[in-house]
Amino acid sequence: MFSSIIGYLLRFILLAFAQVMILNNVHLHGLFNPYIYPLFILLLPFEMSALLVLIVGFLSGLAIDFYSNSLGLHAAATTFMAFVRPQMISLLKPAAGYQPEDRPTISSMGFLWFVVYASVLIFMHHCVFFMMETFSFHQALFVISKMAVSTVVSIVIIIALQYLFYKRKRISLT
Amino acid sequence: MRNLFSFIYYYRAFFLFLLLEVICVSLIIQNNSYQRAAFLNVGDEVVGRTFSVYSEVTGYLNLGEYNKELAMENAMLRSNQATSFYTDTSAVSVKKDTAGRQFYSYIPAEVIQTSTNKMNNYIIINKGRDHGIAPRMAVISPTGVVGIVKHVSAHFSSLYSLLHSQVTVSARVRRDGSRGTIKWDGESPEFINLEEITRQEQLHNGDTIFTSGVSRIFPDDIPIGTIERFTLKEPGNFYDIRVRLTANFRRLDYVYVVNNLMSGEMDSLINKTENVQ
Repeated sequence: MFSSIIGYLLRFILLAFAQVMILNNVHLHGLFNPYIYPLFILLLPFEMSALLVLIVGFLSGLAIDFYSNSLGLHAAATTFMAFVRPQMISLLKPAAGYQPEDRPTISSMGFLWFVVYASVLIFMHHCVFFMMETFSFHQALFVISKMAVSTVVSIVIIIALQYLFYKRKRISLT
Repeated sequence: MRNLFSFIYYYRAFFLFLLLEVICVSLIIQNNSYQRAAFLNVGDEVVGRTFSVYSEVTGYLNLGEYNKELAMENAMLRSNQATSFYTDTSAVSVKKDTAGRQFYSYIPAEVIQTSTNKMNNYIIINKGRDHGIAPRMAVISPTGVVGIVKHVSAHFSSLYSLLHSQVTVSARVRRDGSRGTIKWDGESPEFINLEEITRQEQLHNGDTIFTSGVSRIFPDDIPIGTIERFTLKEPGNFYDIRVRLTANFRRLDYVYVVNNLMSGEMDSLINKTENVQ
């Protein structure tokens, strides 16, 4: 239990580092800003209570905010995402239900399941984030296209990360 | 209460979510200058409109406070003005005519408070006992009859305005000298009723009404008004006459208090006569 907490914490630190140091500096014509740190919330265990997910989501967003100099922006997005996550999980429940050893990863739940799961939640996150960032209905079309493009890029990176780290892990485990 | 708690407990995740989002938004607005600017300067957008409505509403709610502050400031400024210093000297104009005895003397005064919208209207003037004013003196303005002094203090006097249900003044129509009594009916501060003119008199619209001088309070020939219209009261002998007042009671400013120098002599004579009866 304790080691798994350390593991999640380490994962968050790594993701946050990549986000703040690398991806926050990627602005292609201002069209998209990919955000991959929500992967941390995506990967929290299934059996974690909704309240705890909310609090963890809020705190992780707040931590990113401290480094991005945008206090509250990421926290609002991650909190919303964390709130939607349990609904999403129960919506995508397989016919047999979730097994105790299941993890919300590609290796555990399959590619399709993970893509749907990640796409919806990341899109939610990006929607809230970009709406909060713009904070008005000016340039709505630009903001929407920014949401869409950023979501696609973020999901591609997140899936790539999954294959980078977890596929191999599964092979090594089995 | 238990239901409420169980409701909150059941939706605890949602409430926590709401709470966290509120914290986020408040953090965003407080800490990010762009969002704060967007939040406060949206102008004609919904948020801005809501805020302007809100500030208007709070502005109205605070109007009482603002008024009080302004009134305080006005009072302070006014109390520093020259007009707020009480002038203790008063030139009582007395005719120094060696040929005739002085009958009336006039004391100039300023109206400091007046009303026209009540059934019984009062006027306060800024001269009192120290300036020789006594109860039952007449008060006139350059444009006509104003009222009768009721109470006096050292520096101020209160008058029964002509627009007072208890005040009657003897009047006459100047053209033919027919006498009546004027009395206010409480309706309009521009009109007064002339009563007790018998049907034998010939009246015309526009006839001027003056004081008759028989009341020994008002001097003779002080203007009161002009006849606006008159009808014959059906069961009776008298006219119903509407008189347009010449004095504008809404804008009374300077008035004269009329001191009948021989009122004491006249009163004692009348008392003697009545006692004899």
